[in-house]
Amino acid sequence: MNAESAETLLRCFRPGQTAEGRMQKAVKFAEQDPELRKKFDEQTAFDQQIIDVIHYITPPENLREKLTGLSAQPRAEKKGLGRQMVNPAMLTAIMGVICLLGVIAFVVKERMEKFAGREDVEGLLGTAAKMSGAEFERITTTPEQLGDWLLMGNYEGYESPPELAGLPVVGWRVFYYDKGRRVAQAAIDKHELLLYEFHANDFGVQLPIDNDWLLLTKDEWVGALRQRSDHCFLLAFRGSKSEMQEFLKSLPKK
Amino acid sequence: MSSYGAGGLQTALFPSAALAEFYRFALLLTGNAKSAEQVMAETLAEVEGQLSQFRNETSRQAWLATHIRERCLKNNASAPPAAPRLLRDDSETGDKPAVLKIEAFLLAQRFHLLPEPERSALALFYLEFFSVEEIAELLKMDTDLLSDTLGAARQLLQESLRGMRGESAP
Repeated sequence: MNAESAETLLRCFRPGQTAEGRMQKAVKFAEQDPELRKKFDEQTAFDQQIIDVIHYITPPENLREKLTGLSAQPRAEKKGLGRQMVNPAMLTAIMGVICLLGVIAFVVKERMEKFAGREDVEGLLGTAAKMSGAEFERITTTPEQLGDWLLMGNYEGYESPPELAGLPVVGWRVFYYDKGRRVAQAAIDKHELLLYEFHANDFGVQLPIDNDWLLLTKDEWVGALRQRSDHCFLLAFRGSKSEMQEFLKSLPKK
Repeated sequence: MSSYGAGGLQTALFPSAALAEFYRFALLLTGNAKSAEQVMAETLAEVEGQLSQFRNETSRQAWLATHIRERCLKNNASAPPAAPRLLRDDSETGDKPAVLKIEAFLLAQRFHLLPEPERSALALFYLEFFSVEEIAELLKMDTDLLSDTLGAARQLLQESLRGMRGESAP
C-alpha cells in the first residue's frame, strides 16, 4: 500500500468506524505518514462535526402522521388533468403541438390552393365583374339541357355538373377568353349564380379529378372550381368564401 | 392493514429512526424542511405497493433512498437553490442551544448548494445508513470514484461553510 491508495481508502472512513481489512492497513499507514495523518485527522474531525450537526436535525414530531396526510394528497391531485395542464412544461408541450398542427394545416392549405392554371381561372372569374347581363342569350331550361345550345355556340363536349341538375337556367353564351380559349357560361336563377365550363387542358388546370370544390376569390367575386375528366366547372357569384361554402352545402351531393 | 392511510402503510414499514434519517437525507438534498416533507410524502405515495415486496430491509431502504434522491433532484431542477435562509424555527424544543439548531438547517442549505453527485454522496455517507459499497452501488459508481467524489464534496462544503462564517462576521 502506498500513500495514494491509503488516502483513497481513508476518504471513505467514517468517524467511529472500526477499521477492518484494507481500511485497517490504510489507517496504520496514515499513522506512520505525518502528512497523511494530518489530513486524516482533519477529515475525521470535520466529518464528526458535520455528523453531529446533521443528527441534531430533528424531524417534526408528527412526521409519520404528516407523511400519511401529505402522501394521500398528491395521489388525489394526480387525477386532476386540469392541474397537470397548468404545469408550464405541459403548457409548452401543448403549445408546441398546436403550432405544429397549425404549420401542417397551413402547408396543406397552401398546397391545396396552389394549382396549375390558377391565375387564368382567377382572370376568368374576374370577367364576371364586367358583365351587364346583356351578353346572354335568354333561355328557360336546366343545366342538363344546355348541351345542344352550347354546341350551337361551338362549345363541344359540354357536361352538366350533377349538383346543379334541375336548377333554372335563364341565359347562356359561349365566349372566347384570352388566346381564343372557349368558355361556356350559363346564368342560373338562384343566388345570381354563374356557371362557367371550360376544358382543363385549354387553361392548363390540373386538379384532383372529382375532388371537392376548391374556393378562390377575385375582387368581390367568389368562385368554386372542380374538375371532372377534362371539364372544369366554375361556379361564381358576388360574395365571400363562407357564403359559397353555405351554397355548396345546400346543393345535392354529387 | 386497511386502517392505514395511503402513506400510512408505507411509513409503517420503517421505524421512526429510519424515517428520521430519510427526512434528514431529503432535507440535505432539498435544503428546505417543507420540501423535504413533501418529497418524502410524494415518494412514499409513488412507491406504494412496491416497498412491501422487499423482504430485505437494506434493499427496501436503498430503493426508497434512490427514489427520494431522484425526486429531490427533480425538485431541485424546477426550484434552483436559493440564498440560504432560516426556514424553521426550532428554538423552543430540545435541550441543546437553539443556535446549533439554526446551524443545522443552515448546514442543510449549504449542502443543498453542492453539485451532484457530490451532494448525494456526502449526504448518504454522513447519514451512515448504507455501507460505502452500498452507496457506490446506489450512485452507480465504483468505490474509487466514490472516494474521489467524497473528497471533492468535503472540500466544497468546507469552502462553503468558510464563506458562511465570512458572511455572518460583523
